Amino acid sequence: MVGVSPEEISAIIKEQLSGFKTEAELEEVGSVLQVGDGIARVYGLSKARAGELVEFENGVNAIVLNLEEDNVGVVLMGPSDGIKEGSTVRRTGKIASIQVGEEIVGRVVNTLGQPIDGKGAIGGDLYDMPLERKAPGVIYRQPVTEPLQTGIKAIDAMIPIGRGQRELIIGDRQTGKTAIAIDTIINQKEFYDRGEPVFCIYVASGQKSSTVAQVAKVLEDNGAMDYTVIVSASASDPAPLQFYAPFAGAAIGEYFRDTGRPALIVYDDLSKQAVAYREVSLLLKRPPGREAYPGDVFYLHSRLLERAAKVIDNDAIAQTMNDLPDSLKNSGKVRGGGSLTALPIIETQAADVSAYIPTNVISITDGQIFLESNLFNSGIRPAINVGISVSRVGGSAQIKSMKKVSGTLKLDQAQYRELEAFSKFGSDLDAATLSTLEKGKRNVEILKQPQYSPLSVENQVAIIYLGTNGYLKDVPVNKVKAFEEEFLTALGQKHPEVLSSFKAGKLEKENLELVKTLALNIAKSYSA
Amino acid sequence: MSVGRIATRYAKSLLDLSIDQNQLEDAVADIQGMKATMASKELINFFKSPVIKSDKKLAVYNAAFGGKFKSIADKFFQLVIKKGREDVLPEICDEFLHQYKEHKGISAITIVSASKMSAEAEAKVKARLLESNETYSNIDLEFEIDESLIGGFKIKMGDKLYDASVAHKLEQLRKEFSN
Repeated sequence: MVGVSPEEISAIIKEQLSGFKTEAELEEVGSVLQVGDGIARVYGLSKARAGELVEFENGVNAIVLNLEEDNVGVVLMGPSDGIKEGSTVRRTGKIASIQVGEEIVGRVVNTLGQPIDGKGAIGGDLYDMPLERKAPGVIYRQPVTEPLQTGIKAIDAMIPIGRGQRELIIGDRQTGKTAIAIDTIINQKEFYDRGEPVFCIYVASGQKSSTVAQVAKVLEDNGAMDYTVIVSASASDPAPLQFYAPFAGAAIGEYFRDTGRPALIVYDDLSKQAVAYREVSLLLKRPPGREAYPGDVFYLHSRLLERAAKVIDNDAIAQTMNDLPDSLKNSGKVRGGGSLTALPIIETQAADVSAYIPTNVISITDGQIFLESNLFNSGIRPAINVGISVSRVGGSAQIKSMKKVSGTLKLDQAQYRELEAFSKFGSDLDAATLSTLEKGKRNVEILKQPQYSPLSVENQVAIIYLGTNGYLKDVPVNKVKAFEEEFLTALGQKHPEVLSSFKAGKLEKENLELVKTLALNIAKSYSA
Repeated sequence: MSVGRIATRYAKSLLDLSIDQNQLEDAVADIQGMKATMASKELINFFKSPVIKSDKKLAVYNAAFGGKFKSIADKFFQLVIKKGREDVLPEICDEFLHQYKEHKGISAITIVSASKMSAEAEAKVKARLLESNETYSNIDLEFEIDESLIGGFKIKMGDKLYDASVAHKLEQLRKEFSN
């Protein structure tokens, strides 16, 4: 150990003490009437305001949620062990917020923004970002036009997601909802490496701690933690921490959005978060409504998801944005052009999308990706039901080459599914029907994709071009995967310039001709 | 209904009625008398017992207090027992005294100190309190001793707290270092 001289120690202590106030202040206090189950009722605090942060004697913070005639209901943001009846509660005059800075990237934090990955405190300049904040108003927004590449062929081709969009991922348990979100985060590595990072935030609300650790490991192994923050409130954390976790994640996302950078946030999952909110609401004796959720559960989700936005590409206007936190406003770091894309996840029970929370969130978001367990079990993974999945932003969130190539894909697949059911009854089919069926089968194969292997958009364009134009008709269905792999490797080696032109959004005739010839050549070795 | 709300309503009606009938000071004296009697746990336990019927409670009340209260407080206590709210009687008494002080413009202030304050110090604190804009022009001081404060004092008025105790300062120092 390096020796430390007594002088140094006393200098450090002096420095620490220099900001210490010896003057006592008039405080506004209340006393605890009742405590338990993560909530407390407090007598006094007559001037406390809704959403205000209050502090208990032992340093635990709480948020004021209920203002009643003769008491105040607060939710505890920590353990209730040291809090007794009669304990003093102080007003802080602040609203609940977390500290966010550049160095939060790569960390695992809890709802309060404290690191829980054992890597020490978060350094650098930190800004107070409030948990509850109003979404940007209409004049501070602009339409969603840039694509957010998920790296998943089925999504990027048929259900494109734009930066600033809210796209719901919905499905039963074990259908690969989290996998889609994780793949999307991993796919952003391409942009990070290129120096245009899309910062990712993965919010685990009510998940198992083991699942969170596993996600962190996968992201770490794929080099995705360099631009990702994980906010974790696992199932063992108090319910208030669980239902505030998405808000903490949104606060982190807003830091990137308001400093002019794109960010992606995954809320995994909002059904468990709603359950945590229901628990707290019932304990606070708010009247239960449908499925015992409180009346404001819709507002809980709508105000959260409204915070996903594409901010106007004009620094001067963006700097006047409503509800900018003071610390960020005064730092002069506010820029326009940032975005926050939200991927909320909802778990359905037995594919019942007409339950309360799924219908609410479907109506709030700009589209949904439906995952089905029967597709998953029949080997179609990702198990996306293309027929009922939509993206309301649509083609404006696709690059030109992808838009042209995938234009007919969704329709083709719809036709294929219709004919597929019909074809099971007879074998005498005309040539046109047969070709639709054969093409459909191969497209289904093309859209299959293993986990943790997102594909870049130029490769997607190339392979989907072959599929939609029927150039794979000589490749047997069970060999399509192998063909795809060989074809993409060959294309990358022989014609990298073609891929970069696809990436730039161009779809030139001679390039397409090159792709076609290469594909037909490789296909020959598979036919027979 | 919550205890707090019941106490507030009963206390307010007694206050209003005693003001109307010009019996306010008598009522206050009676309530204070009742509060002093209830310092013994026995009476509270008797009133709070759910097993004893309310006519029995009323009989005991009349036997114990019959004729001792001069003001309408007597009738008020009987009403409270008849309505089965005798279990919140201590809270009603506290709330009544609180509302009385509010009505009269008296600030109830508790000063907690680590050791007994000298008369001189008490007078000084009182003078400073009257100077400040936080209190009414009349103040009702109560003194408490709590050795856990180590030194200094705490002033409590309603839901405001002025904490100048050594224990609080040490706690703040601990927080400063733990950050």
